[in-house]
Amino acid sequence: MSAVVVGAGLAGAAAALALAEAGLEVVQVAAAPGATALSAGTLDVAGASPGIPTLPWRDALRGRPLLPRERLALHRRGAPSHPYAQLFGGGEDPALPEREVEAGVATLAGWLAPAGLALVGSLGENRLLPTVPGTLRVADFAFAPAAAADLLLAREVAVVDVPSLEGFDARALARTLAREIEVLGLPKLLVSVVQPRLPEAFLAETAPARLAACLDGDDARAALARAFVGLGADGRVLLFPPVLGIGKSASLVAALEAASGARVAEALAFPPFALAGFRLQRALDAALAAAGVRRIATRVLGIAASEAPGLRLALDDNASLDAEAVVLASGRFASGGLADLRDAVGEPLLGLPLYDADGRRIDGSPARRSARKGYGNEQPLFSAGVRTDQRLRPLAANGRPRHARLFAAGDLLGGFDPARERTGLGVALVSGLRAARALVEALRAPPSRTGDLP
Amino acid sequence: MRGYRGFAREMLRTGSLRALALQLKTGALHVLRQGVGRRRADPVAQFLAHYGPDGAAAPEPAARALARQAEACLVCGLCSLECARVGGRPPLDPREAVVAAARLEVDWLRLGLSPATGAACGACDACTRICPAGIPIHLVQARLASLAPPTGIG
Repeated sequence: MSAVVVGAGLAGAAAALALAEAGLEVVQVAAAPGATALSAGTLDVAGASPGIPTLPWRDALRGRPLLPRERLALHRRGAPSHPYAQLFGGGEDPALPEREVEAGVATLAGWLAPAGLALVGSLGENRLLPTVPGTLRVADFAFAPAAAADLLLAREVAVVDVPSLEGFDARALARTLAREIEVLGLPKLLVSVVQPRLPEAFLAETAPARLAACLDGDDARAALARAFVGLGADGRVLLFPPVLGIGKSASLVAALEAASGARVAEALAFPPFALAGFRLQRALDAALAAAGVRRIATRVLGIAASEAPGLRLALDDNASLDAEAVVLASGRFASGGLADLRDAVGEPLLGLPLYDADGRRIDGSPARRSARKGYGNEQPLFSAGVRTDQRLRPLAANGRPRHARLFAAGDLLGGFDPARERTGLGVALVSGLRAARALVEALRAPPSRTGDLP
Repeated sequence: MRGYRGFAREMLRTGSLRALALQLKTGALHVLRQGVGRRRADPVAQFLAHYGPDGAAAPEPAARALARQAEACLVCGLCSLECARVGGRPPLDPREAVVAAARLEVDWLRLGLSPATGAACGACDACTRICPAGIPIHLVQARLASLAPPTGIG
């Protein structure tokens, strides 16, 4: 049995890894990394409360912060269009979302461990992580070394000043962070700026990417660790800009912690310097290679039903690829899963119908028609995606699955705004694993008479 | 035009026929000057006459095509990270790439570019392979490297 996965983000990787573990021969087709590679260092399962795109810090009803598991339940029950509602059903089994998310996270952590990328957190506790500009972000799960910056466990935050680094201002970070802590009414926390005697090479470096690459070297690691001897204290977090190595950040953090005696963490960063997302992408790619998933680096131009019951993918350069079954995890606009072609929003591979969170069909109409005035307003365009049946098969316009062996996962699933609701990677992980399971079941079932359901 | 019309209407309303005659005369003269007067200089040629000595050059069709492709840049920064990872020196800075892309059409000024951009590119095309927008970044780099270092604003 074989399967083709379209897309290299978390949804595609989770599906491909699960399929490979189930014993299938898996081919992954992707032209470039997806939005996962641009993530900030958190694995957002239920990062924000539905409809409240700010910190879920004070819940009016409970008078206390909402826990991730409570936010997850709200997402599942609150919006019928949200993929969580589809994935976890109407609520027959109240513990299902939690169980499935935690199992998924544990599976993912196992895949990432060989690359040295640790994934920490739980649905039972919040983490408050500082960003490069100094604002705070609530996270359920986060990747090391950003996860160690949790302010709820710290007594003191010392921001490490690297004066030459472009786009990083330690003093501004400290100032904004202190203000955020005050505004949110968090327990008092000492926020300071430390200026260690950095090695000469660091003081000349302006580009964060180059500094991060340089810190992967053994000499640079040792030199940096020496600069931090004696800078630690009990309960102190040394908050670094996100430059702590690209491939070997775990050993660099360990060396720094051993030298200083403090906890070492990175601030969360966003594009154009999403180092954490890049590390995640690299770790996923390494896991896929180790699992024997073959990767074809090219663009998919179209998918059609082939001789029943399979599908045929048209690839760039007139190539084609036959598949017994396909998981479509092509993402949304940034990765080309959705596109605005000839002034009409659409799904370019199969022309699948697209719906927004309110259930309006928006494919075939110009993108501007799905935009609302106001920066903070909900934007229907950002919740555009396909609808699926219970087994994650995308639906055609007539409401029936487009193809018996075509499955969708990740951001391509419509009805939610992954950035605003901060459930993007959670949906990607759970739906990727689910799609793989549904695909295996479909292949094991006796072959249906027709593959392409009209 | 709208102003002229309003003016003429006002003249008619107030009955100032002499003023209207004057208006018609100047209008006719204006049309004559535009039509048969000196040839209007080509703006590009005019620009090049001014800035040519500073190293300005007209964009070639290939550069224009590259600029069109580069407009798809998401400013995600993955090219920069990938370049650093494979050991490129200096790694491409996405901000500079965007500036470079935009300037390719009018590459006579190239403001905001450091002289090093593009100069040390090893042409390994790792950046192109990771670009989610499908921009041939290594070609952008090659294009930049082929240009003389910026001379600043003269």
